[in-house]
Amino acid sequence: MDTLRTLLIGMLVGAPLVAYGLSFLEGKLSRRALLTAAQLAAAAVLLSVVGLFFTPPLGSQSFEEFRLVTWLRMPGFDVTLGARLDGFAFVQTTLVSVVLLLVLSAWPQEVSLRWLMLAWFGVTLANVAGNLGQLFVGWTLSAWASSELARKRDKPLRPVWLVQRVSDIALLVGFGIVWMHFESTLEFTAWTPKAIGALRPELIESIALCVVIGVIGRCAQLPLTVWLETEQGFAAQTGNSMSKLSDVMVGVWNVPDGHEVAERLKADRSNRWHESHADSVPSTVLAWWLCAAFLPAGIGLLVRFEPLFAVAPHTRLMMVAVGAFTLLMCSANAAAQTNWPRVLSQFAVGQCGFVLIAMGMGSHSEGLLGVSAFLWQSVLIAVLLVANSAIRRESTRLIVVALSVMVAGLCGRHAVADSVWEHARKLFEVPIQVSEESNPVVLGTTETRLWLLVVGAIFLSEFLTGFALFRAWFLSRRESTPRSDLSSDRPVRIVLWLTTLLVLFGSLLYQARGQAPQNSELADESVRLQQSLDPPILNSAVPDPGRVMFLLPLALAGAVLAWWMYSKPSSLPEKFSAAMGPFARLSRNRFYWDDLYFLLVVHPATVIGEWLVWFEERVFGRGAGSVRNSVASVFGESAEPLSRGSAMIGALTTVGSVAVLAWMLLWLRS
Amino acid sequence: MWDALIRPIREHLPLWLMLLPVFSAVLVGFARLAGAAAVRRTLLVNLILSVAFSVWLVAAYEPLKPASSQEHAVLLGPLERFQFRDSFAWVGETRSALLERFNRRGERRVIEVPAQWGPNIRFAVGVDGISVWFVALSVLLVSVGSSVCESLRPNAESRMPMAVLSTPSVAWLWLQASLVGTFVALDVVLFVACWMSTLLAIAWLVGSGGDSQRHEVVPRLLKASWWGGWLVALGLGGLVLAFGWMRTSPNPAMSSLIFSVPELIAGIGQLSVGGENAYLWRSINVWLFWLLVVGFTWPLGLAPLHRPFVDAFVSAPRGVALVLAGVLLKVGVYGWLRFVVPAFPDLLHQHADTFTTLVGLSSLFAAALAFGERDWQRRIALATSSSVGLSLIGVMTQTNEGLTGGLLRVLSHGLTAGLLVWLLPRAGVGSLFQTAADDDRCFADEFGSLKRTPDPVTSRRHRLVRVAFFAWIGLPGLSGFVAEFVTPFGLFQHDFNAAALSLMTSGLIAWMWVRADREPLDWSQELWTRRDTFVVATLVTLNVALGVAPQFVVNRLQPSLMSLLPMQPVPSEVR
Repeated sequence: MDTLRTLLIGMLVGAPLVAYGLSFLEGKLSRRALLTAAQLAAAAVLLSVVGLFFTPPLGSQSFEEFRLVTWLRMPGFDVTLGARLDGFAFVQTTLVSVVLLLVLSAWPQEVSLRWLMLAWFGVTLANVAGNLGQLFVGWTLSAWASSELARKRDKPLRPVWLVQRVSDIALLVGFGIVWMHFESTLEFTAWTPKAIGALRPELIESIALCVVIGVIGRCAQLPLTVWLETEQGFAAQTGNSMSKLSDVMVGVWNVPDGHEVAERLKADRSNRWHESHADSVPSTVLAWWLCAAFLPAGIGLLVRFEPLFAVAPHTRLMMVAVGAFTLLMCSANAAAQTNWPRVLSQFAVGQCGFVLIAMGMGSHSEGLLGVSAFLWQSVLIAVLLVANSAIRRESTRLIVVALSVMVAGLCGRHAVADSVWEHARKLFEVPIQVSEESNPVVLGTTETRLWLLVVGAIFLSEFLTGFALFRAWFLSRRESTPRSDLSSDRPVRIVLWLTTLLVLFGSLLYQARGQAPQNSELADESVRLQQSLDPPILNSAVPDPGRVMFLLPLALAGAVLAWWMYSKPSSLPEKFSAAMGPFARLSRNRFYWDDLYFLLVVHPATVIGEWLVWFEERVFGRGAGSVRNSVASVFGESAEPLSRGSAMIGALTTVGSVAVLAWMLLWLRS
Repeated sequence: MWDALIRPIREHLPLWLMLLPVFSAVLVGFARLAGAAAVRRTLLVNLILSVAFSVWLVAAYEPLKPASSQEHAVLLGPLERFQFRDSFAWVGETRSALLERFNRRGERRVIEVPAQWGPNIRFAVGVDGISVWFVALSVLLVSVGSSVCESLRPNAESRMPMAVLSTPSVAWLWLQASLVGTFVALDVVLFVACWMSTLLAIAWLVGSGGDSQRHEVVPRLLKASWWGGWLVALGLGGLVLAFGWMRTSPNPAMSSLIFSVPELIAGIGQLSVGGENAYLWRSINVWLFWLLVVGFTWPLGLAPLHRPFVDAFVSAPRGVALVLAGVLLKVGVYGWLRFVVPAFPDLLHQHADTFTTLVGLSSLFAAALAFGERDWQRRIALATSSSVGLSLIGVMTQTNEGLTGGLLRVLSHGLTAGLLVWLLPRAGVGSLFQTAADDDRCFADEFGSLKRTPDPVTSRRHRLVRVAFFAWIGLPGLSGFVAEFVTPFGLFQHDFNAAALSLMTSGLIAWMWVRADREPLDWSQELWTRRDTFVVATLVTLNVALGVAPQFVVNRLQPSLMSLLPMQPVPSEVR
């Protein structure tokens, strides 16, 4: 049994590395052979995960740790690369393997396989990390390699990872504080309840805040929705522009050709939005980003740090606010998109915000429900994105099934929404305080008011999500023509159908069990911590998924509205556009984020840099020279060497210094 | 037989590395009589042997030599931390004299009496875990830099007179010998002499091969470096005198002046702990501390004192700029590690907050200047200034992680800056000899593999420049990542402000390179030779090796760095 487990673990960690090595043969071996090898490697990892799951380790540990290589070891600082296998590592590795198999089935010819394999290696390192060092290596490596997938050959760097560096820096700060206060170790095992309980609350909040900033950058949540600079965009006129996640993922221009507004804007050369669909990232790459490398990795970090989040209520509140805002914004953006991948990308990022809300509520059960719902959805999003680029004609049945599942939100979103509603209801349960002074009525606390807003955001976003998904589907059906650039799509279709059915079956089974895949160690620690340190309001029980089902009607209402507007011969879209045009355009382009970042970050940094250069050349350099000349002119010829800075001055001062030193030593001796 | 041949080299590798260029310079003098081909062959032999010896030195260096017995373990003193030691009397000598005595009963006794002639300045060399990496980096970059030297080109003789041809060659050899000597010197006077000599050599190289601004730039560079050197000389002289007096106070019979660096540093640490010596030390150590701090920091080219370095970098020929930024600028960091940190731990600890904040601000300032620059050469120079500042911050923290991160950043920056400088188009980096060679297309055919730059080569250069960017920015798998990852852990232990400044600087530099990548570089006039392939492959491989397996370097660094930490003995597991 031990030999088998060792073999499986070797396969789990080694397969991505082997695949990466093989990818260097790109150009020497045929593309098909390389893709097959990569798929075999992904399948091997999947098999090893399943094998490890069904061959439990000896003993009763909730996790198993294997140390393979020492990357860096110093006294008090040890980064060992290895594999720490627990429930969540299994789930994440499985998800990544499935998504990789999907994307490899339709990997575009023009995108390098090497970066994908390197990114996979990084993601695997991060997923099975047993210490913060390995986690950081994998985290950074996967972000960098994945972002390279967006860069076209011989084009400038498309620095998706520039914003990732912001999150990297925040993470490094957080890891530094953890290392300093957990016995100089980076191991996860150091986070015992006792050690966490001994920390000052502000320290825990600081760590949690740093980690959340890292997650916000990784998951493109607001306000770090900006991922990179591009030459496009309105600030490009000055050579500096910032672009946002949706731009990088799917391009900026999203009004169909032939549309009056589109033609008018295209004719205007000073207009900032000239991007076309051709510039967008291939939807297969998009699938890798959204469903394996970026969003699930950020969520995974949240789960890893859950024991610390459990005792950081202020940071959790911030997570809820960020998540709700992002959810609402992305849902609105999705509703204004016409391109199917764009809709899905906005949807995915919005759902990531949903997870932030779930984790921010501070209850382990809701948090994991939100996470698991997100992970199930990720596979479906990958299926749809791959289908977008690999199937000659959109498969109606496939899309309907997937859309229905996503609109229904599985069990997780309902449960989270229910829990948020429970929190918000406290607003009305708090007795109204009537004071005799000028402010007579105080209704609830800031926190309860926030929860009410979150409930509103969730309801609205659910309606908009239903509307957006079905609107995009109806529009794509209307314009759909069989693609001639694809050969037989039967194998891909089979893979997609199988995956969809597996996901449906798994999610239904999971829903029936009513609980998330447990990382028991994390769960135990978290529950213990909550019981000991959290206010009781955050300790809600697992909600009954059937109790609150008002999200489903909202989503269905959105779908019906979309059907009425886009599938029936109706004048409603025109009327709606006329009435809501400014809002729609605002939602569609989101140029205000570009404006904001340009105004707050890019422009000031550029101006300061250029001003400093000017200052250094004109003021500092010339100033020093003029001071020397002034001194020389005041003191006459005797100081002339000073203005030239001659060797004579150096020699005289040196001799003087030696004399002073000698005198000092003589004085000391006396 | 084989052992008899190898042992004399293996046991004295630092000495060989230092003397090899000196011998080569002499041989070049003779080879001039035989023609350019002989000069070229001499230089090539020196280059190959130097690189081979430096690799051998790194491989043969044992992280901490185990003591052969318990008795030796007890005796393991400061000098024993250095390996491959050689020591020769230079100015003055101390030796034991045997005196024959007869007692009343007529029995003969031989007494050993120490006798001294002169100040006992010795030509002493050796390496520890810190200097071995500086030596390796120096040899590598000087070899790379000198490989663009005109004398190494075939048929160079027909382009210019022999006198002109061999002059830079001798300067390069001089630079190599003095640079290696700076890092292997175990004697204070030898260290200062080598450092000063290095400055003269680099001034000669910039002055003879730089662009039209070189006549203004060289004096400024010399002044800035020279001032630092003189202050260091004063500080070290004071250190020697002070130590001598502190030793003689309780025991006048002892020798007064010690110039050996390890003994000096270790002795000061022991003698200044308490008693009358502590009083003496407290009276003078502040002066010496500031002399050394200013002396070692000034030539680092930190903003706002960066102008001499930046101007010299821009004006210098490509090979010289590469050495200047890659290793020569960092002698100050080495000085901090060798003298300031071990000799003045308390004072450094007292002022560390101020120092780290100031240097952090300086690095941020240099990064902001680089951000606003449009000129590639100035951009690299300013980013170098910023990077050196970040290395120094790590050293100033007096923590294991900070010191290790600082050293790793020095190595990483040397490799990365070397790669970047090598790959940039030469247009605008004026060099008398380079221009003559590159513009003269009639020699192109005689290079064999030399060919005009086609598009694939430009594309390759683009990709390689990006590798340099990635390494500088600190992406995993490349050398910069290790330093970027380790240093903050030391900074956080020390001061949050310094850590924040350091991270902000790193972020700004990353952004700067991303913006720089959009500016097209014109390689249309560039040629791609086998030499380019060899140099670039070496630098990229070393970059990746340091990123993937930093433990090889850290293993050799650690024992020496641990000895710099205040009041912390080397843990048993490291021994």
